[in-house]
Amino acid sequence: MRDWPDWLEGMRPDDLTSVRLRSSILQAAEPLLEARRDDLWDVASRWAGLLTPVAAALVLVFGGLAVRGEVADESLTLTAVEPTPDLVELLHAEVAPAGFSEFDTNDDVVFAALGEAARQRPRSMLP
Amino acid sequence: MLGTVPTGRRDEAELVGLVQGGDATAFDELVRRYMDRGYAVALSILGIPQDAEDAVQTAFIRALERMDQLRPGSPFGPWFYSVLRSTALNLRRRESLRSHEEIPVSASGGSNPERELDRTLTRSRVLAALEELPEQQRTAVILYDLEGYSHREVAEILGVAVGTSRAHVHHGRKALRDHLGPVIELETEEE
Repeated sequence: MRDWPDWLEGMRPDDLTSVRLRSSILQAAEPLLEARRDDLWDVASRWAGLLTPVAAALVLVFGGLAVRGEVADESLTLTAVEPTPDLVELLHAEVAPAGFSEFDTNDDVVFAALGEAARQRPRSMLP
Repeated sequence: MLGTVPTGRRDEAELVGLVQGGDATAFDELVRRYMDRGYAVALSILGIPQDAEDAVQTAFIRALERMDQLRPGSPFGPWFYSVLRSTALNLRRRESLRSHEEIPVSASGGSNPERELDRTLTRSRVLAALEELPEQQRTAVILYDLEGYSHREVAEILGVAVGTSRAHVHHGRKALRDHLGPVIELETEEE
């Protein structure tokens, strides 16, 4: 900013005027500046309000993909077990007796089975 | 408060950006830069110190209200002076409609009476000389001499062609020299 020209020296405000004028300008400006600050917060809040659901959706999508990836990896590991002789024997021992899966839906058969179970229960277990 | 600005010179475009976000310190910096010169411009148009104060205050508040109209990166000064000029002209128009008691030029006083008297006499002489010029001429000369603006910038503030601004400065200075003597230089015009 250039120096104040000599011939305009008398047009410069004196110190008292400067102080008074500056103070009154800043005082009058304060509510407007405050409104501008509030507007800025409003804008930030609006953006935050808009972006929160989007961020949540992204977390869900990417989080879900990550979990599914892990599950897929684990199942892959299980199917890759080597069939050793011990394991084959163990699996044979676990096989259900013949006719196990051929259940009868007839009520009489079910009640007869329940009565048999009650008779075989030790007496100490009875109330 | 948001983004408090440390004291010192700052880029004007940056200050404008901060003020748009409500930074009071940045606004204060603009006020300190342009208040005194704005006062001189307003006084040259209105001729009455109290009116010049009113015009400067109103212009700063208007500028703050319309700060978003300022294009990013544009200088604040020329835009502010155009707001100030239109504010002062409106005030003059309004004031001319009602008679009012003129406040003495020395009403505000100061710490050094001799200096104040000298200032008052100089101001009265300059104001009397400026009074003889059409408003555009006097504003052109003041802005050209006080701010060192180019004819292009002065033309923008006044809303006239660059050639017109050049003519205003030339004729205005010549007329002021007739009134005030050789304190007004004639040969320093650029462009």
